[in-house]
Amino acid sequence: MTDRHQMWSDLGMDLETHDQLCAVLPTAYGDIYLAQQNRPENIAFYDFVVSDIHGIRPAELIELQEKGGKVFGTFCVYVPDEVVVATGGAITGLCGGSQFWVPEGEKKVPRDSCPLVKASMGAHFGKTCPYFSVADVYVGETTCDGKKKAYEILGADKETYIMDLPQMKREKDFVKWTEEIADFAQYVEEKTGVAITAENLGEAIKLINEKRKALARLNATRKSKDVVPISGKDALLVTQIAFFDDPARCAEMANKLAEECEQRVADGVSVFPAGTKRILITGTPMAIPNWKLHHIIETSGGAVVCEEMCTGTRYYENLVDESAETLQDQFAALAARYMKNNCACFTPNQARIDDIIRLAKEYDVDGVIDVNLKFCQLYNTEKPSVRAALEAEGIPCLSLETDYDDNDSGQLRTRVEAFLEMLD
Amino acid sequence: MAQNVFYMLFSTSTQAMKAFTELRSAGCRTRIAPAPRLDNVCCGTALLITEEDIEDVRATLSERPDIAYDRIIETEDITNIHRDRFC
Repeated sequence: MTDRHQMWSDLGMDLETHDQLCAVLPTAYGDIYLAQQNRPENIAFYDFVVSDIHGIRPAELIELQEKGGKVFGTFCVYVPDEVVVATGGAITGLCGGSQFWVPEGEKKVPRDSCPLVKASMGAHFGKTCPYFSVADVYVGETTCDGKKKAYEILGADKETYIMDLPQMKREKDFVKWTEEIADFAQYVEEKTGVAITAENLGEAIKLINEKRKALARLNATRKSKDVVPISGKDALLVTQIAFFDDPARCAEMANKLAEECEQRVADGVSVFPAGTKRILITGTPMAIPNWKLHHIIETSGGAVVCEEMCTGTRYYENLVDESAETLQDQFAALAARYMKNNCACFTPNQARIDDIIRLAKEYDVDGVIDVNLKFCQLYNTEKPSVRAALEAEGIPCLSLETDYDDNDSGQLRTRVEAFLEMLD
Repeated sequence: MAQNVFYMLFSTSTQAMKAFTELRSAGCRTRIAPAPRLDNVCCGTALLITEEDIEDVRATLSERPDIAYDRIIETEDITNIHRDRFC
C-alpha cells in the first residue's frame, strides 16, 4: 500500500493518532457505501478518492505549493472560491464531519458547541487532518457565533482571514458583501503575489460555474419520480468531495456520472425498488465523513433524493453572472450569487423556507426530514417555521437533532422507520 | 456462515486505478475499496474482486506488465449495514 507517513510527518501531523482514524475507514465505508447494490459505474472515481482520502489530494496540494501556489482552507459556502482560483491557488473545504475529532475540539471550545465546530477545532489542534495541515491560511466568516469565536482560537495558531458576512439581505448588505469580496481579493493578491484581473477572475467564474452546472445536472437526475438513478449517500459523497477536489476535474467527473444517471433514468435503472419513499433532507451541513442520517434513512426503506443544505443545493444552485467586464462588476456579480444562499444565520430567512417547498415539489418527495446538528440554535429555531410551511403544503415533516456520535443511531433509526411507515 | 472477500493490494493508488480500469474493460467484476488495515496501518486503495474472477484477473494483468500489484488476500466479509458505526 502507498505509505503516506512521510508526507504526513512533513506536514507536522500526529501520525499515531491519525492511524487510529485511518483504521476506522475500511469497515465504515464497506458498511455504508460498498454494501449498496446497483450503484452507477462512474461512482468508482469517488470510491477511489475516499480510499486514499488523506493521500491523493493533499499530495496534489503540496505539489501546487512547491510550484508557488497557495492553499486556502475554508469553512463556509459564502467564501467565493473564484477569487482564489483566479490567482492559481486552491480552495479546500475544512469543516470537520467526524466524531473522531470532537474530543480534541472539546479541549478548546465549550462542549455545548456544535459538533461541526468541535470537530474542525479537533482536526486542527489534534493535527490529524492533512487538509488542515496543508492549508497556508484559513478563511473564516461571520456566520454563526460558534464559528466566529472558534476562528479567534484558530487564528491564534494559524493565519486566519475573516470575511464579515451581513446577516440581512437589504440593498446595503449586498453593497457591503461586494466590498468584503473586494477586500478579500486584495488579501489573496497579497498572499499569492498574483494580481487579480478581470480576465483571470472571469476565467475562474466560468470554471466554478461549470462545476456548479455539472453538480446541478447530476442532482437533476434525482428528480425522476419512478427511477432513482443514484442513492442519496452517493450523491452526498459527490458534493462533499467537490469541496476539496480540483474544480475542473470535479466538473468532468460529475458530468460523466450525470450522463450515466441520465441514461439510467431513460433505461429505468433504479437503485431502489419502485415505491421507495422519497425524502428531502434540509438543515445543517453534512461535512465529510458525516454519512450517518443518509445511511439510516436508506437502510430503513427510504431514498434521499435532495439535500437543501450547504452540502447540497446551496452549493451548486445559482450561477455567477459571467457578463461583467470589470473587477468591480465581477465582485458585485459574485456578491449577488453568494447572497442567494439562504443560511439560517440571516434574518428574516423566508427564502430558505421557500426553497424547501420549491425543492420538495421539484423532487416530488413524499416527506421532508429537517435535521440540525446539536447545539445549532439557528437551524433549531427555524424548525417550527419550516414545519408549519410544510404542513400548509400537505408535506409530512420529521424534525431531528443529532451529532456525529454513534450512540443515538438506534433511536434515530426507530424514528425514521416510523416516519417512513407513516408515509404509506 | 460468513463469506470471505478477496482484496487485491497495490503499492500505489495510481496502480490500483490503472488495474481497475483494465479489469473493468476485460469484464472482470471489481470495485475500488479502502485497503483493509493489516499490519501496515496506512490509507490506501485496494480492489475487491470475486473468487470466481481471480484467475481472469491474474491473466488480464499478466498482459499488462506496467501494472503491478502486491498480492491478493482473502479475508472474512464483516460487512454489516446495520452496525451503525460511523467514521
